[in-house]
Amino acid sequence: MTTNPLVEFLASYGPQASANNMYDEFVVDAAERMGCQPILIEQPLVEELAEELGSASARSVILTGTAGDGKTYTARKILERLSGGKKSWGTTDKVLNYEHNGRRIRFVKDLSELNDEDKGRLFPDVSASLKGEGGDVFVICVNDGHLLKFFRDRMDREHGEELHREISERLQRGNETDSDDAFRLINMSRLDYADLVNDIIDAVAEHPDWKGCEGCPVLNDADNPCPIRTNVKLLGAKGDPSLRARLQDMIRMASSDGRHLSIRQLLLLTVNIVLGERRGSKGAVLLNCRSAKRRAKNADYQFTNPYANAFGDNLKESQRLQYGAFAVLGEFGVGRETNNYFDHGLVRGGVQFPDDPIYGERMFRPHLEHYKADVEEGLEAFFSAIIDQRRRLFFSVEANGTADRKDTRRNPWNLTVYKHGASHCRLTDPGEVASKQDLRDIRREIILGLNRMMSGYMTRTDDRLWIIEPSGVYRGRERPLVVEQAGQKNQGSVILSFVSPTDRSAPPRIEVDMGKDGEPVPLPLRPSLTECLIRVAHGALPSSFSSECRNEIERFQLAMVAALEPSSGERPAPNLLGMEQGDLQEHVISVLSDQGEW
Amino acid sequence: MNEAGNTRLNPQGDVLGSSDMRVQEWMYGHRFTTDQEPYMILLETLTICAAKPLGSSMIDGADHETLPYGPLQRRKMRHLVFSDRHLERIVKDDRIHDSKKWDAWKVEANADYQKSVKGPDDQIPDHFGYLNDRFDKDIQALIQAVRIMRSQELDVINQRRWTSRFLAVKGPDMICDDICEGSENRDWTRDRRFFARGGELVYLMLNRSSRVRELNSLISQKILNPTSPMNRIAIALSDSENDHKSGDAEIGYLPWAEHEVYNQMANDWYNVLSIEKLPHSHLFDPLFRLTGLNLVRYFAQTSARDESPEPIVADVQNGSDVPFRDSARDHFNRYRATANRAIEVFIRTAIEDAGWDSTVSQKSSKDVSDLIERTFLRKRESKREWVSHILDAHVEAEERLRRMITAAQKRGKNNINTVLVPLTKGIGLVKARPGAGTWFALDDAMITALVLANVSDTNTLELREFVRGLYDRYGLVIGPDEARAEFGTPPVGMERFRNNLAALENRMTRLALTRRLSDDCAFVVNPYR
Repeated sequence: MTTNPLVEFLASYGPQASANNMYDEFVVDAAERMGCQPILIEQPLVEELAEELGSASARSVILTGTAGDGKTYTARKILERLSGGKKSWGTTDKVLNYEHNGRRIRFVKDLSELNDEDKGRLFPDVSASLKGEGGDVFVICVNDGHLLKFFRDRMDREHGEELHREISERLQRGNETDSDDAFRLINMSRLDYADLVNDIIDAVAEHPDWKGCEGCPVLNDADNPCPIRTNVKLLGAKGDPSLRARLQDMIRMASSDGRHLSIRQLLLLTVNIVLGERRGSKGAVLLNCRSAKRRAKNADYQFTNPYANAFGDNLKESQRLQYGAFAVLGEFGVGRETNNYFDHGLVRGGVQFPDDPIYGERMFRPHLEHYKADVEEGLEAFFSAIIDQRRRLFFSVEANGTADRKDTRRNPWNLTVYKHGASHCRLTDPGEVASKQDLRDIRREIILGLNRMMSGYMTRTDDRLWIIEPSGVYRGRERPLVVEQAGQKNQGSVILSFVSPTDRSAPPRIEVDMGKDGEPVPLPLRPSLTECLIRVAHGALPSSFSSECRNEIERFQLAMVAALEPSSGERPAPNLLGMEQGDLQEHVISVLSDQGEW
Repeated sequence: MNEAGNTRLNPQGDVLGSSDMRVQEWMYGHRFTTDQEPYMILLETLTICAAKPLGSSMIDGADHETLPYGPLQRRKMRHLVFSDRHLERIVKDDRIHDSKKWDAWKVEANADYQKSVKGPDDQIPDHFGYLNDRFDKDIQALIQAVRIMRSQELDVINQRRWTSRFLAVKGPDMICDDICEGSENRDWTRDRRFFARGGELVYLMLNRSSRVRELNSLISQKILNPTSPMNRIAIALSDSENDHKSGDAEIGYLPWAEHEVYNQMANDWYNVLSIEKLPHSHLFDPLFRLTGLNLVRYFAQTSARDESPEPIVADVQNGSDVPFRDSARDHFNRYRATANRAIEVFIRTAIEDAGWDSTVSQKSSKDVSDLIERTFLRKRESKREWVSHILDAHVEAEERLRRMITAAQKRGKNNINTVLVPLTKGIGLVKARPGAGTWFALDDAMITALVLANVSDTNTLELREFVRGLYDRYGLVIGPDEARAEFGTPPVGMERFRNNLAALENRMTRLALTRRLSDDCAFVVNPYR
């Protein structure tokens, strides 16, 4: 019997019953034990930092981020690179000193693991280094909460308070580094992860040790192939539509909503897609070579469905919530959301959908027929089967093809809570897929949605933004007043622009330049806000959306109004807002208009 | 008299003359009522600020400020906005030619207004003549201005009489004092139903704070700015030259020369008023909530005397955690009960100091009653039934004192125990639900106000530091660290406090008031800084 040790090794990255805080070390161990190559993710950061640390101008580096972001991994790689692979990190060392070109570089594996006494001893050296006063250079791994606590607890010591302030500010600012900064602070949670999932998928799908499957009887079985290898193939497919492309969209959307997935979570997700096995109530089960063969023999592919595994369907509800990846992807509601186009197509046929030799028609048809023959008896199984199919279609129907763009019903994002998810992706990354006309349409929809939300009128004005002042009257009636209009460059002094983020984990945003000295006023277009605005533009009522969206829009209004408020002198008179045949109109308030002009 | 090393000031003139008792008056001030909602407290404070800028009069040794003030009544503007019924009708009336509408309306409006000034019907002056030039006799321009001013009315759902309806204060000319129409041949007077002096006491607190000058300039620049568009409309509708002014009356009585809360309240005002990116029209909401919260603390600290004040165990989970909610309810009840207990302590201490023991042992029964009356009651009340019940010479001295205590605890006006209910409800500090009672709970607007006052731009504040600050400043107990600091034995398990803190963060995220960096670190963001 053939077994490929890679399968067992990959499982160590998967959802394990034993949650492990020594994760990085644990995986290194597992790799050695199984004789597999560990999963390698190229990190340009390692190269960059190693080079800097090895140079004459070495500065200390603090690596922060959520658990699982690869802080320790990065530090370990830096050490390996610096020492040319000679020095490696024992699992017991909390602080490791390394002499390099006459300088001591001290690696702190996890600052929070040190006791108070050790921390106190380390503090003067750390703070001197961070203040650029020379001495040892540090590479410190710590999550941001502990980092701040380290200084907060030592506010009364030299540099304690200054460093606490500086680090707080820099943590919020993001990752830009100034060459004047005495140290580098890198938030691993804020790195550009758009391509990371891509790299991880490649590392798994194209792992050299898959060659260990050669000779396995189910590897090349045409009718009942190995589910693991089938899933690997689906996972590895590239381009749009593909499992990979849609996953990337979702992960990017989540991160622009502030829901960041760590490297560990992305690995876990990838492994679960390939190895997940649904076994009813048992929970957290992964395939191994033996069970994969059994599934193949019995053609039990409904238990190995990668499209269901992507949402953690092989886990119990409580386990799903425990893993960030499934909690985040679960919020997209893929499979529970649908429209008539997809459901009629699946049930009645007559629509050309992409098929899949294993997880498509072949799996769905028996359930459909059973259901048609006996609705009551077949309902439950049918219901879960159609969810699987909707999920498959979400990952395999084109979102950006010209034909699909014209038929909005066929857009796969209809199978999620973000019906306009494709539009959000286009705004985030307009270079890739969007035509100019497409982008113009989306932007107009967003302006229309904003005008409707701010004015309270179901207007059709979408060529410029009407800046409307909320009244601020406690328990009063709203009477909208217009203070300005924002348009494109040729439309006046207040200019609205759409900005795609350079950091692809950030949301796209609107910026309104108020034509004054101050900074432009931003409105970050989080996915749910984009969704809300476009749906309102399509006729939904503003009140049907969460107060969060309304709060954000009101805050945007207030910020724009405040930016127009002069610090001294008379404030320009606002105008009354009205609507005529769907177009917003403004009316001068006669008593405030300058009567001396005529 | 002296309490906690603090001086109790001498009242000016007969300022306590209208009060039937001298109990809460000496303890907290004169006076707070249940009818004066928290936003009206702020309105009243601003009314005084417009008439007498902060810092106009200061305490002098042991003497209270002297601050007689009489606000403008703005009768005509308020008549146009709140009382006139003809303007809308005539503008819409097709039978009247457009060019005649102005005069047609004036005839009706003048006649109407004549009734309210109780003038004779046969020679009606052109009360609204001042509008002719301002609006160029254009009735459309007038109705537009009147409608805009109507849209500035506060609290529209409550239909009060027109002289007790208020406008948002976006300039000094939008201030509407609470007045009542004079009966035949009598002048219109200030009414104390809604402007019951709570705002006067807030004014005095700010006046005694260390930031009085800064506040005065911020208030005149941001709230009482005469050039704001809304204020300019109010000016156009007002007959300023012929406006009536209420007779000067002395400001209320605030006993303590110094108090921790005065500076805390002033700081909150300062922090909110100096926010750059919030339009001036939006300062009112956080200000009245923070003012109310500081009053709540003022009551607690004053009631506690030398002991530490009751904490505010605040639920932010919308009551979903029942044991936590029950605990927050118990703390609210204790808060109120403390106010009642303080009355008994105060009365017993004060009568002791006035020579109770010797009077009881050596003097007549009437002298005992006289001592109670002299110390706690207004002289001319003695005919009243409730007073004669207290002073009943046929019952034991102790019983008479007990009756005095009960009367003070049950009184209608200036009763902190009852004032706390509408005060905390009005600012979003409690929630009430049938079957669950009333419990301390923060609503979204209150949370926002707390962020505006406690997060400045120079300060990158972590959530846990923010929550700790709320405990230090206002006694708010939200998370486990504060519960540990406040209680030897916490009223509910620490897990529940942890959940409460997590719920706070969720709500603040929904309000876009936090920025989470990782699973271990979140910052609080003041969005207007």
